[in-house]
Parts: sequence; C-alpha cells; structure tokens
Amino acid sequence: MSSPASRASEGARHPFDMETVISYILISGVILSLTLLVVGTLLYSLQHHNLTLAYSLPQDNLFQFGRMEITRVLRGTLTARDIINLGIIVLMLTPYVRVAFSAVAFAFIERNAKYTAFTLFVLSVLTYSLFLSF
Amino acid sequence: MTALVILAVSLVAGVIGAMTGQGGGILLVPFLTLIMHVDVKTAVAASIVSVIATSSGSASAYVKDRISNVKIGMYLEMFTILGALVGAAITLKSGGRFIYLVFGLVLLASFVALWLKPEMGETGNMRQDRLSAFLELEGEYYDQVANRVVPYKGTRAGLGGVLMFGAGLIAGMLGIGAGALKVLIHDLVMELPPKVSTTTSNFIIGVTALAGASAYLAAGLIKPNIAVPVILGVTVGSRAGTRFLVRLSNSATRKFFMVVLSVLGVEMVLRGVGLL
Repeated sequence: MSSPASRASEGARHPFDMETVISYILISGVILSLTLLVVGTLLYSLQHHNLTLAYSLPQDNLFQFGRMEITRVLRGTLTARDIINLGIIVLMLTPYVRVAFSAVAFAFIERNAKYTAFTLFVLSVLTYSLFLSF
Repeated sequence: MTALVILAVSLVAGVIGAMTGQGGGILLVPFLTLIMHVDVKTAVAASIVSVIATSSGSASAYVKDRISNVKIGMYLEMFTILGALVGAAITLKSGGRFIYLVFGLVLLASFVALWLKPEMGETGNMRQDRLSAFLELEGEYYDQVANRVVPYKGTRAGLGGVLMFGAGLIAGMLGIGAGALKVLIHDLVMELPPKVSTTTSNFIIGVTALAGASAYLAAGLIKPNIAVPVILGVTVGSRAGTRFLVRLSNSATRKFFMVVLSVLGVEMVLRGVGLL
C-alpha cells in the first residue's frame, strides 16, 4: 500500500477503502465470467461437435434469466449451455455489484449523503432495467 | 466455423480499438454487419455486452491506481444510464437502416474529431463553478512521468451532465462505449486532465453498457452464437492492443485508424440511405 500512486489521497484513506474493493469486484467479475464462457463453450463444442452455439436465450429480463439459471444450479442439472449463460449473467451483474457496493461504501465508509443518494439513484435505474420486459 | 471467424473479427476490433483508445465497439458493429452479415440489432446487442467486459477489465486497474475519479464517475453515470435506456429503446423501435445511418455518422464524426484533435496540457484545472464545487467534482492523481501528485477540479457539471445523457444515448443506441465522446465532454466542458478523463470515462462505460445490455437481453437480441465469441475476442484483443500501444508510434496508429473510420463510416452511411 505504499506505492506512489496510492499515496495520492493518503489524507482520505480508510483501512477498508472503496477504490480497492471496487477494483477487485470488477476484475474478479470479468475473470469469472470469461472463465465460465470459455469452459462452457469448450464443453458445448465437445458435446455437439460444433463450435457454433446453436441455441437461443429465453426472451426474458436479467432477473428472470438469472432466477432460471440459479434454479438449475441448485437442482444440479447443469449443462454446457447453463455454464455459458451463467458467464453472461456474471458479466452483466459485475457493474451492478460495483454500484451496489459503492452505495454501501458512500453511506457507511465515506459517510457522504449526497453521493449515497446519487449512487442509489443509479442503482435503482439499473434495477429497473433488470426487470424490463417487452 | 463461423464462430471462429467472429472470434477473429472481434479480436481484430479489440486490438485496433485498444491501440487507438477508442474501444472495440466502434469497429465491431461495422465488421459484424458489413463482413459477417450479422443483423445490425444483434450486432449492437453483442457489442454492448462485450463493452461491459472490456471497460470493467481496464477500469479495475485505473480505479486501483486512483486515476479514475469515482465521484465524478458516479455523478455522470446518473445521466449516461438514462441516455443508454432511451438509446436502446430507439434502436429496438427503429428500422435497421436508421441504425446504419446513425452509426455511419458517428464513425465520420469520430474521424473529424481525430483530425481536429485539440492539444491538451497535463496541468489540472483549478477554476470551478458553484454546482461543481457542491458536487465535490475534484481530486488528485499521481503522474508517473512527472513524478508528482496533480490536483484538479472539474467544472460545468450541469452542461457536462446534459451532454453525458447524449453520450449514453449514442452508447445504448449503437452498442458502443462512446468513450471518445465522453472523453471530449470531460476534456472540453468539464476541464478534467486527460488522464483522469479517459480513465473515468472507462469507469462510466461499464455501467452505461449494462443499462443498454439489459434492454437488449429482455428484447431477446443477445444471441449466444454471436455474443459469446464477440465477448471473448474483443476482451483478448483489447488486452493485446494495450500492450501494443507502447510500441507503435502514435501518429502511425492515428492515421491508420482514421482511414479505417472513414471507410467504414462511408459504407455504413451508404447502407443507411439504401445505396449499398
């Protein structure tokens, strides 16, 4: 924690700081998602002898789609398709989790009411978008 | 077979996107539609999901190094996500030709912006209007080259917010990060230092793309056979492109990219008006 870059805002430093956690949320979400996508695609192509993923996603919002996949994980009926779908879900949830964490961090770590409100606004619009249906 | 070609095309889009700092999306959609004959809305939907991956990956490093300004990012995200939802709704409701036309015009506008690229200094702005002060739009970052901490203040938060709605709209409508547009707003309107403006724009892009991507998912436009190779290709490509960045001379990449932008821009516009 003593690299020159992290010294920049030493005055405002908390033992548990927002930037570091956000950075880990982003990178772990992306790595997990890409791993699921690669593993799922390889399994799918081994089973179907074809690299083209010949299936469609349900025309559902992320909430419904995620709920369906979680049910399948819990039932233990996981196919290559489900692994790929989970990769897409994890990817889409990565920025969402980042915003959700920022709301908590602005409220309880930074104790900044203004930015807690802004972040909650962003979070509610994103939540609305997860429930969209056409 | 097609999957491998899409993977390769996305890889190239990612490499060039990262090398020029424009992101992969702006080349990806033209490549997918013009070369691979993918339906334009499916291409836009695949692209916007891949934008989440590339922007989150690079934003992670910038946030950790405290170059991205999380507060400025959060404030502007309020505008970009609304824009992205409106933009996605426009694409979902409009015909393919209109999307080609707007895409082509954005490509040509990026060409012009690159041509006229204003020279920007590294010193932080210190003037600030009252709204921006109220919004705490300020910070500091460590400049490795100069080996010093650069403090700065952002200004014109009101106008910046309104314009960011527009940038979000373009992003959601065309499935691109619209990073170049966001950087322009940060630089010219809010007077942020270039390093802060590019990295904060990167930070905003992920959340903006999610708002758009949710709409495309709900509309059933995210097709695994396109979206998955696109996500993998663009992500790997932009990683590789970032490495290249240091080795190639700036003006050579710029010229090359300007040629690509103008050719693709003209082709997309011609499609839009029905001449191709």
